[in-house]
Amino acid sequence: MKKFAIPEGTRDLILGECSVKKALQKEIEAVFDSYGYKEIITPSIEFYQTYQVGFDNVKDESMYKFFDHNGRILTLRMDMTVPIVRVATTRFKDQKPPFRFQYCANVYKVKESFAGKRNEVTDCGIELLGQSAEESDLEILVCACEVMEKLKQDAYTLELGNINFFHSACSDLHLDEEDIKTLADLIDRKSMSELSSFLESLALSEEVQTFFLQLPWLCGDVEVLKEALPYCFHPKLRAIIAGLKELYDQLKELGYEKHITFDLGKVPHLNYYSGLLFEGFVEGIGTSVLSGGRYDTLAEKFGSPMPAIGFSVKLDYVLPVLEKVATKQPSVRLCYPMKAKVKALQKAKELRKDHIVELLQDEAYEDVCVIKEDVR
Amino acid sequence: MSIAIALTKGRLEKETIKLLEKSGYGIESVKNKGRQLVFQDSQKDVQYFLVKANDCITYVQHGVADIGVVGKDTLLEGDKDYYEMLDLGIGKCKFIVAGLQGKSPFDKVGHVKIGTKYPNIAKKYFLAKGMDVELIKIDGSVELAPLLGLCDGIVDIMETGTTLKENGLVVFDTVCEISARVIVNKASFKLKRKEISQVLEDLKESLGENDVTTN
Repeated sequence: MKKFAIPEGTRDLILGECSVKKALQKEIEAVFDSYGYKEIITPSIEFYQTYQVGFDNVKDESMYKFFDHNGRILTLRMDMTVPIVRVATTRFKDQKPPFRFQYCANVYKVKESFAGKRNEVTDCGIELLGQSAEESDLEILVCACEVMEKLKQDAYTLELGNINFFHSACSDLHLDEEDIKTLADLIDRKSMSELSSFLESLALSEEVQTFFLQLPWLCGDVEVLKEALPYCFHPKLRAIIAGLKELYDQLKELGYEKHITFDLGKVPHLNYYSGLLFEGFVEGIGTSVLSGGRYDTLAEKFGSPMPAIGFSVKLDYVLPVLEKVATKQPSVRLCYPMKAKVKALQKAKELRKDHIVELLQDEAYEDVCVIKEDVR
Repeated sequence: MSIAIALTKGRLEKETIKLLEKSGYGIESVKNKGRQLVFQDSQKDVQYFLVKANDCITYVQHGVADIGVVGKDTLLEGDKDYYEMLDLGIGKCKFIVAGLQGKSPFDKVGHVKIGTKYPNIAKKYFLAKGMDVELIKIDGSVELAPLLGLCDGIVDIMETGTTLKENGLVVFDTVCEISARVIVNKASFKLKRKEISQVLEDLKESLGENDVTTN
């Protein structure tokens, strides 16, 4: 007998799972709608080149690739930010920003086998293009908090960081790119013993070494911003902390402060980020469920520079902690013998105004018969 | 908030338990384990479970365990989606390149074959050396492979070197040093920061004591 399986890292969602996911998607989209974000649907496949321009250091083996009839390389889209920037810089070229776009689409990345990770996930998010940090960081963070509330009413954490905290620290040290990459990776993974031996090999001043060694630990509630100050050996670093503190104060005024934490050692792998970074966590899920940040230089690579920020929720990651949603509509079964088929369909049409009607042909019945089903 | 710690079975198990005990954890139930798989700490709000090294990473990555204690060898070979926050300095050994006396794979002209249980580590090492080698994955008694002519050398873990010596193999190079590490799930670290930092602090403290006694 033939066996039919699905490719690694993919899933079938059935029955209740679908309704939970759909319900969550609707709730999140309602938040996006209320902020004036317009939906964009882009193709599932993009040219490989588009992603090569978008991500500087794209990992080839993590893309699904194939060829078109002209031999050009196509990929399944890896994220929605790059396609949306592509749309904004081509189709909206002559329009005046800001642009507010939302999307909900499956994105694809080949992950290592058998680690239980997803190769296909649904990404539901927004991108706000054409507004600077001052203009839009706060708005985006508030929107992210509202979305997190939809996921887990009160039990969520939104963690802020700024990619420039790491980059400004590196800027005057004359390190080569390879070393910066290694340093970023070690800090991002809070890999303490490797970090300390790597720093020793770089021959940096003591002040700088202490800073980098401390960086992975500079995370926690707002107090950490104060704790970090003594380590800041560069005025730019203090300015970034002041910026984060200002955002915190504004979020506090808006009533979100108890959900806000910081991680100054956040150095993500996607190198299009250029400023504020944030990730949302809920209890019971081993990874971040929401993530986003500012990417002011990405649109420039596609030919029309504009600042931008965005975030998305990986819907599939949240599903395990969500409650089942009950179908609100009453459901009935309508049984009928063959000879009453047309009558049954007429009756069904009437009932469907406020019922879910399932038809069932059954010769045991003389005429059309409606059976209530309360328990479903 | 309660936290869950995944401990690696086998080589590291005893030393890890000793260290936890020293740090004031009530870990008797793990010491006197029967067929039980999950253990409750008698002093603190901590749960332990014993798993194989590779599974330790998996449990931590999925957040089923907040903290894991596992050898660097396993970490090097597997995924990296966790925080690696503390070097416990126990279970020390190293990765080495070994082969038959006088037949170093580094001197060989032509195609080189390397047998190993750890293809990722070996691949990375030889790539850094600028050598193009063929890797052959072997699951046990890797020392046997060069003896029988399956490959020109091996990349393997060496604790004392006795097994190598007894089989007439010599070490040509050290790939890296290995010891037990504490890994932490990323999301757990954000949500249970206080509890996790406490465990790290406790362990760090008794590590300090270790140093004093050995020096």
